[in-house]
Amino acid sequence: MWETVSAAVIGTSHRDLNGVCQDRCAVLCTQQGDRQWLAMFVADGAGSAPMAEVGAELAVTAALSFVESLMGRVEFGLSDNLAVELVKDVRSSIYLEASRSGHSARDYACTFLGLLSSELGTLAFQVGDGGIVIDSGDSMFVAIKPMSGIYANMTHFVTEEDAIDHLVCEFFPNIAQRAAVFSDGIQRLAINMDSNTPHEPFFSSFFDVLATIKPEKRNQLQGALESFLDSDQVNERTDDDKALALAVLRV
Amino acid sequence: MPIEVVTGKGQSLTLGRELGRGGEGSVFEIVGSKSHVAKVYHQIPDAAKQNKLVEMTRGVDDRLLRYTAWPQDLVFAKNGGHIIGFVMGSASGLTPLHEIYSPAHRKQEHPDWGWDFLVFVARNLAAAFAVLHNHGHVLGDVNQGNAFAGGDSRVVLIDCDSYQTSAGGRTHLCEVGVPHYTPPELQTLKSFASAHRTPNHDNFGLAVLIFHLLFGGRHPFAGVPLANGVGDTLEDNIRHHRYAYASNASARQIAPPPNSIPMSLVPSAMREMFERAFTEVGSQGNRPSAKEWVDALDQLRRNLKQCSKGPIHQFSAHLQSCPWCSLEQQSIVYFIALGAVGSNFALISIQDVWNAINQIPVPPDPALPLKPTIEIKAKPRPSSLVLPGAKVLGYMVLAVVVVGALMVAPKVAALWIMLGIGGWAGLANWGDDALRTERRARLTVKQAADGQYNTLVAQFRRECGSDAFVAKLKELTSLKSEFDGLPQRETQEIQKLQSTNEARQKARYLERFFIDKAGLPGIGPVKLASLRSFGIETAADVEWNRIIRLKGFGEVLTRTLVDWRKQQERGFKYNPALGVTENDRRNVRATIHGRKIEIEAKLKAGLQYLRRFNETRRQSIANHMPRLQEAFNKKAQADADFNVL
Repeated sequence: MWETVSAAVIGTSHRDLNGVCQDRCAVLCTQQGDRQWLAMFVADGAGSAPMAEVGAELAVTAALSFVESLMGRVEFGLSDNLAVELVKDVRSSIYLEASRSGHSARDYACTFLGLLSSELGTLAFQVGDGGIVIDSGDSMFVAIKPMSGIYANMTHFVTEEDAIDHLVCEFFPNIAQRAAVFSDGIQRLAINMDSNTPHEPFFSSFFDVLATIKPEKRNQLQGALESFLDSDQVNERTDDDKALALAVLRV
Repeated sequence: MPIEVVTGKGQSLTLGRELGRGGEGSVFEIVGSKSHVAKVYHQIPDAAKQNKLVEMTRGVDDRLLRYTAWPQDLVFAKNGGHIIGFVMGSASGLTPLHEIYSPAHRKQEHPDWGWDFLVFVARNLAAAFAVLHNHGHVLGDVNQGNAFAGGDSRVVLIDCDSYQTSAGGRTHLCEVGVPHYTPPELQTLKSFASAHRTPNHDNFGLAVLIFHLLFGGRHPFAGVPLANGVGDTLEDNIRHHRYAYASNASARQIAPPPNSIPMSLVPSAMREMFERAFTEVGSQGNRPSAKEWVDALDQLRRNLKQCSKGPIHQFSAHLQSCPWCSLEQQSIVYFIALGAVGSNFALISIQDVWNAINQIPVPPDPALPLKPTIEIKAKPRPSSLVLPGAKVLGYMVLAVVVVGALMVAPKVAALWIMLGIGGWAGLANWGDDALRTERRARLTVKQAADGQYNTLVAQFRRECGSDAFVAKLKELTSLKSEFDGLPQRETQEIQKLQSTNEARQKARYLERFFIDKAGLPGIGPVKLASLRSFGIETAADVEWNRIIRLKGFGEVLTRTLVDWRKQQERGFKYNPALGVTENDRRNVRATIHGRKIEIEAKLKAGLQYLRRFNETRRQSIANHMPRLQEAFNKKAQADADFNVL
C-alpha cells in the first residue's frame, strides 16, 4: 500500500487578484481484485481562462471516476490507448459541461497530468506543462520530457481541439516505489531544468516523511504539505498556484 | 444450444447458431438449410401479431419471395401451441444498402462496383417496393438497414414482419419509423403506433434511398443552411421541404454541401422526379410511385456510357463528358479506375496532328468596308448662316466708309479710327454663334457614327478576326507542350510517391476506420447520414474544422469524432518497408494516361477547328457585313456633313 498526500495551494499573485486557486490534484490508492493500484492526477487551470478552476476540478474528477470504472474491469493493459481513453473521458466531461452551461471548452482550459501504477508497471501521461517524477527502486527520474508550446511560456491544454496529439505517454515496466506529480508552479523547485533531472533533496525530504509516518500522525500530513507550499521559502521562488501529489510504497 | 421447433406445416426443425439479435427477436440458422433462417421472438407475440404472421404466411407468393424475406412458414415451440417465430429466406452473402451507397465502404470493399451497378440496385429496390405496393402492403419503416443487395444487384427487403400488411380487408399497422426516411407530412407525428401508412409515404423513403445510391450516399435534405435557424437537424429540414438540391433550393434557404455531385448527373426527367418526391407536391400525395422509378431507372440503365478510363466510369448518355473525371479534377474520387494502360506513348499519331496544325497559315484579318456604298453629299450649310462673301463685302464697305470719313473730317480722325475698329470687330463676329451651334450639332452626329462603327468593328474582329484562330493555336501549343512533358511528369510523380509515402500510408490506414462502425456516443444514424452527405465517412475525413462547421455538430460531438480519429492515428506506425506499391504507381499512370487521352482528343478537335476556321467565318462575315457597311456609310455621311462647315 502506498502512503500518499496531496495539496493544491493558491499562489501569491492569485491571492492578490481574485483569491481563486486554479490548480487541482488528487491521489488514490485502490484495488482491482487483489491487485493494488496507485492513481495520481494534477490539473493546472489556465490563468487566462474564465472557468479554469472548474475545468481543473472536472478533469481530476473525471480521471478518478475513470479509474474507479477501470477497477471493475477483469483485465486491462497499461498502454498508450488506456491513457488516450482516460484523457478522452476527461475531455468529454469538460466539453459536456461547457455545452451544458453555454460556454466554450476553451473557457475551461487546464493542463492534465496523470500516473497509474501497480505491480504490472507504471504509466505516466501528460498534456501541457508540470512534471512527473518516479523512482522504481533504482533512482529518481523525470518521467516525461517537459513540454511546451511553440512559444516560450506557452503550454498545451487538455481542452484544446487537438489535445490528443499533445498527449505524451510513457510506460515503465516496474511499480512506482516513490512518485510525485506536480503543476508547473513548483516545477522550478522540483526539477533541474538544465539537466531535466529531479531535484533530489526536494523530493527526498517528502518521501522520507511518508516512508516513516506513523498511522496516528497521518492526518497531519496534508496540513504540513499545505503550509510548506505556502511558505515564504516557496513563495519567494514562485507566485503561481502549485499542486503536488506524492506517494511512497510501504511494504 | 440447439433449439427444436415445429413449423406450421408440421416439419421439425433444429435451430443452430444465432446469426443476429434485435430488440424484438433473434435470427437463427436452421440446421441443414443454407437458404432459410428462422426468426424467433424474445417474447411470445401478442394475438394481433400472431394473426398478422398467419396472414402473411398465407399471402406469400413467388413475387414477394423474389424481393423480400417474407415469412414463409410459422414456427411453434416443440411442446406449446404458440407461434414463437417464422421461417424466411436468408440474407447471408448480401450487403446492406448503406455499405453499397457509402463511397468509402464501396471503394474499399467493392471497388469494382461502378455507377451502373448502383443504378441497377436502385432499379431493383424500386421493383421490390412496387411488388409490395402491388400486394397492398406498405413497408412503413423504410431505412438504410432493411434493404440488402447482392453482387448481382438483386435486392432483398428484410424485417418484413414489421411492415404494414393488408389481407382480407384487415390492416396491420407498422408501428415504427426512422426519422430521416420519414416524409414531411409524418414528421410531426409523436408516434407511429396508430399511423396508417400509404404507398406515397413509402415513396419518400424510397426516393431518399435511390438518391443515396445515385448521388454518392448523400442525403437530399443535408445541405449548407443559408439562414439562421435552418438545418439544425435533418428532420427539421425534411419537415420544411428544404430539399438541398431543389431547382429553387436557395428560396428554401439551403444549398447543396460543397463538392457534391451535381443533379445534372441524371436526365432532367429524373431530376424532376426527385423534385416531386421531396417537395410540397409530393407531400400532397403526388410522389413518383415505385413503378415510375422502375421505368425511369430502366430507361437510365439502358442509356449508360463509359469514358476512356474504362468501365468503372459509367454515366448517363445525356452527358457530354464524364462527370466522374470532372469530379476527379477537383480531387473527389467516387470510382477508382483500375487496370490503367501502360505508359507507351503513341507520339507518332499526335505528332502528325501537330504537324498538320502547324501547316495551317494564320488567316489575315477580314477586310473592312473601304468606301461607302451610297453617294455621299454633304448636308448644305443652313441658309440662315452669313455667306463668306457677304462678310468680305462688309469689310470693304467699312474700309471705304472709314477712309472717306478720314478724308472728309481729318480733325476727328481718332474717332473714325475707333469707330472703324468697332465696326471691324462687329463684322468679324457676324454670324459666328449660329455657325458654332451648327458645327457642334454635326460633330455630335459624327462622333456617334464613329463610335457605332468602332463598336461594330471590334465585334466583327472578335467574331471573325484571326484573333480566335491565334488564341486557339496558343491553347493547342500549350497542350502540345504539356503532352510532350507527360512522360517526364509520370517519372517525377512516381518518384514523388516515395516522399509522400508516409502520408499516403497513414491516409490508407485511417480510411479503414469507418465512423458508422465505431459506435461513437451521440453519433446515431441521422448524424451519420449528415456526415456522409458532407463526404465524411472514415477517420481520414475527420478534421476539427470540417466537423465544427456542420449544423448540429457542436464542440461536444466534434470532440468525440476528432478524439476518436486521433486515437486511431496514434495506433498508426509508418512502415517504410511497405514502400510504394504497384497500385500506387498504377494510379499515377492511370491519371497521366487519362490526361494524355484528353489532350489527344483536344488536339484533334483543335485541328478540325483550325481547318474549318475560314469556312465557318465566311458565313459569319457575311452576317456581319451589312450592318458594318451601313455603319460605315453613316460615318462617311457624318464626316462629310461636318467637314463642309
